[in-house]
Amino acid sequence: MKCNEVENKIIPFLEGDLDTQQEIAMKEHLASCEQCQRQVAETQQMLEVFNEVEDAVPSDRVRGNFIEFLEEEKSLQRYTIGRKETKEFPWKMAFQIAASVLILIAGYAWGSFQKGSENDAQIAELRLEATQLKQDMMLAMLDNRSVSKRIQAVNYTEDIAAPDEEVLEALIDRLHFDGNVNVRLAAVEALSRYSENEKVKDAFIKSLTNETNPNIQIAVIQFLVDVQEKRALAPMQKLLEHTETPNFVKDRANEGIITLM
Amino acid sequence: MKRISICIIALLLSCVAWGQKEYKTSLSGVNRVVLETNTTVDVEIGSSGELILRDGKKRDSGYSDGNEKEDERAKGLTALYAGGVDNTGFGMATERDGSTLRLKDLKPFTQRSRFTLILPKNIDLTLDCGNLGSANIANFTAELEIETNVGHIKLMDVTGPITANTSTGAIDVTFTSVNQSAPISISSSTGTIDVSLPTNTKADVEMRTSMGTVYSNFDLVPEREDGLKIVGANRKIKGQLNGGGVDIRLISSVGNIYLRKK
Repeated sequence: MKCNEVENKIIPFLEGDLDTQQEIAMKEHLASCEQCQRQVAETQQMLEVFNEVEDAVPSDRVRGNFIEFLEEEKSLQRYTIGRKETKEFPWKMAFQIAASVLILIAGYAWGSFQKGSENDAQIAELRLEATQLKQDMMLAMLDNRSVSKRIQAVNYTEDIAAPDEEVLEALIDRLHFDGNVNVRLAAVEALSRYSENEKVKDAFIKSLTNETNPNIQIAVIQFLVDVQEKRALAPMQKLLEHTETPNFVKDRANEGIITLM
Repeated sequence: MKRISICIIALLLSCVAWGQKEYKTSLSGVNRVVLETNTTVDVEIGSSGELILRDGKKRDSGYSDGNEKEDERAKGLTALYAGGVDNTGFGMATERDGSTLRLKDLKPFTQRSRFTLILPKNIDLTLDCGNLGSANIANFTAELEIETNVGHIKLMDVTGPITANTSTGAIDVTFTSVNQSAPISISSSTGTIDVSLPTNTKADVEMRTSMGTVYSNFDLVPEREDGLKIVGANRKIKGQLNGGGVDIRLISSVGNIYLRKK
C-alpha cells in the first residue's frame, strides 16, 4: 500500500470501517512509514476533538418563536391561498364575456329584425310590382290576336284582388266588343265578381241590349237578377218582344222579370 | 317505253285537269291561317310546309264528292264575286297580313258543300264556318279557334289551346294530351258538348249549363265534410283534375255536357 492510498483511508481506518485485508495492509504500511503514522495520529486527535464538541440545542425561546412564526406564516399562507381562489374565478372577465355575448345577440337580433322588416317591405314591394306587372301583362294580352290568350288574360283578373278602373274598363271593353263569344263569356264571368260596381252594372245592362249570343244573355240576366238591378227590366222586356231571341232565353228573362218585380 | 311513259304523264295530267281543283301556297313566314267560309271544312295535317285546299272530302279513291262542275260556257271568262277577288283560282280571296294568312271563301254554300284544308302541324288556325258549315279537325297540335252557327265541331286527337263556339251545333273533342299554356274554352248555346280527356290531365275544370245536365266520370265534386250532398247552386260544376292546371271551361245553355276519361 502506498502513502497516498493510506491517506485516503485514514478516517475509515480510525473508525473501523475497513475490511480485514485492508486493515492488515494499512498496519503493515504504518509500521514502515513514519509520515503516515504521524498523519494517522493527527487525524485521530482531530476526531477526538470533534467528538468532544456537544450538539447545539436551540433554546425554548427560539423554539417558541419558531412555532409562532410558523403558525403566523401558515395563517398568512391560508389567507393568500383564499385570495388566490377568489381571484381564480374572474367575475370581471365573466361579466365582460357575458356583456359581449349579450351585445352580440342583441346585435344579431336587431340586425335580423331590421333585415326582416326590410325584407317584408321588399316582399310587399315585389308583390305590388308583380301585381302591377300582371295587370300590365293582362292589359297587353287582352289585345292578343289569339282568342285563347285573351281568355287567359281575362282569367288573370281573378288573381288581382282589387283591380283598378283601367282593368275594369278593359274587361268591359271585351264584354262589348270582342269578336269571340268565348272571350265575352269569360269577361262576363270575370266582371260578375264586382257586383257592387256601378260601372259593371251599367255595362251588363248595355250588354243585355246588344248581345245576341244566348249563353251570354243568360249569364248577364243571371247577374242582373242576382244584384237586383231594376234597370234591367226594360232590356229584358225587349228581349221577350224580340223574335230572334231563343225561347230558352225568353224563359230566363221571364223568370228574371218576375224576380225583379 | 317512251310512249308508255308519255301516256302515263298525259293520263296523270288529265286526271288533275278534270279531277279536283287544288290550290297550294307556301306558308313561309306565316304562323296563323284565318279561314272564313260557309261550308263544311275537313282539316288535315300535311307533311309539306304548304297550305293546300282541295275540293270535296278525301275518299279511298282520291278526292270526291266534288262540288260545282266545270262550266263550258265560262271558258275564257273569269268568275266575279261580290265578296272579293278570286286570286286563288279556288273561289277564295287570300290576303297576307303580317304573319297571318287570311282566306275568304267567295262561293256560297250552294256551290261548295265541303272542302279539305291541309296545313302543316305548327300553324295556328282560326276557322269560321259561317251559318251552315261544320268543322272536322284531326291530329292538330297548334292553337285552334273554331266558330260555327248550325254545324257541328268535331276535333279528334287534338291538344289545345282550343276555343270553340257554336250556336246550335254539337261539339265533340278528343284530347291526346292537354297543352297547359293557354285556356281551353268550349261553348254551345243549344248543342251538346262532349269532351274526352286523358286520365292524367292536369286542369281546372269549370262546366256550366243552364238547362242541361253535366255528366262525367271524373271526380269533380268533392264530398262535403259533413257527408251531405252538394245541391247544385247556379248549376256550375267546378273542380280540379290531378291537382289542377290549365283552365278548361265548358259552357252550354241547353245542351248536356259530357266530360269523359279517355
